[in-house]
Amino acid sequence: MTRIKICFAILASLIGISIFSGIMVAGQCRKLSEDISSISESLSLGKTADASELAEHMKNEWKCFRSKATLLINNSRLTEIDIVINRIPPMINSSCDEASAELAELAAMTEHLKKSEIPFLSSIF
Amino acid sequence: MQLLWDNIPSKKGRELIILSIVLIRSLILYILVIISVRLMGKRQLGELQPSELVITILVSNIATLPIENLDIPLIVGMTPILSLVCFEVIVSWINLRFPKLRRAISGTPKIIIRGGKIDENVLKELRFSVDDLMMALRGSDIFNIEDVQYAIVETTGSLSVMKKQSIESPTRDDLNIRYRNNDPPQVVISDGEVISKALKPMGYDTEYLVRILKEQNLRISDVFIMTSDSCGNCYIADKKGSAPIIVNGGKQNDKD
Repeated sequence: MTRIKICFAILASLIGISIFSGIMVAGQCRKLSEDISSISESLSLGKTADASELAEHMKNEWKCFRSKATLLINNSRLTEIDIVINRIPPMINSSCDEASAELAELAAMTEHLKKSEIPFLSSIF
Repeated sequence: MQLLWDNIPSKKGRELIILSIVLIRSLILYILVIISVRLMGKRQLGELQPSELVITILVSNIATLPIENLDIPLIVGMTPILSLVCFEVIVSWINLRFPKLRRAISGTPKIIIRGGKIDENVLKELRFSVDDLMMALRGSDIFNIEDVQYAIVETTGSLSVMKKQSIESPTRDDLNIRYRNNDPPQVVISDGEVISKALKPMGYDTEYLVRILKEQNLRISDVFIMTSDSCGNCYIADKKGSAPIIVNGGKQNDKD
């Protein structure tokens, strides 16, 4: 009977960790999406300085989140987002035309990461 | 870890870090698999039921994934192992309480030879060829199918055989021979340490051991292994490697 109790405790812990992971990733992805929207809006209004500041802030937030997320999420998926996020501030600073495209790609990756951490039928199968 | 990685510019240094990560992960997963096997219980160590075989194969394959691929977080490797093991234990417990479920999951034993006659329908059902049957019988030290009264294929796939009475060896009861002791001897001293758990059921204590050993000019710390049974028969092997000492207890038991 002790074994059964231990097993239920382990399963409960695993479910707890999964729920926590899902909530944490969903929360961070939502913040990231909001930041991306703000940057895109600033860029469309021509406020390059604001966009650059927001981009740096987004990059720093991502750096903090990444160190925790690496315990729960596959490293290759985080690295993909790393690469794109690191490209954005220099692109905005140099007023590159592709900054908007990169932001759109980042938004799509963020959405994909969020969906993959939540147990929808499509992510399970 | 990122800080450590950034501060080591050399390729060799980074390779060493990767190796040490692999080593630490291997150790953690090794400990986890041992804990998992222990959690599943002693049944795992003997004949495997179909579900247990599946779990064994899955766990061993899953355990290698986080070791081979450092991109996979350790928790992502540990979660399926722990989940599968927990499900197995819970299903085993449910099987105990619901016999119908046990039959659905593990199947039922099938009688393949009844009263000396082979049941061909059961052979076909199990997809057992005659060669398979003969091989299983030889595994049970039976080389002549005539000798078999009953043979049952268990849910684990093994074959249990009951020989015909006419070829069975006679027992002590059949020959009316008295016998002394039913209980196997227990290890009471191992590498100089007394095992109290083994002494209690036999009604002995440490003073009894000291007395026996004193007669042989030995102390507890000198003993490598000592076994004893409820009749007081002892086997003593010391740490020096001298010839083992056998003490006859002289007590009677059971039929006597």
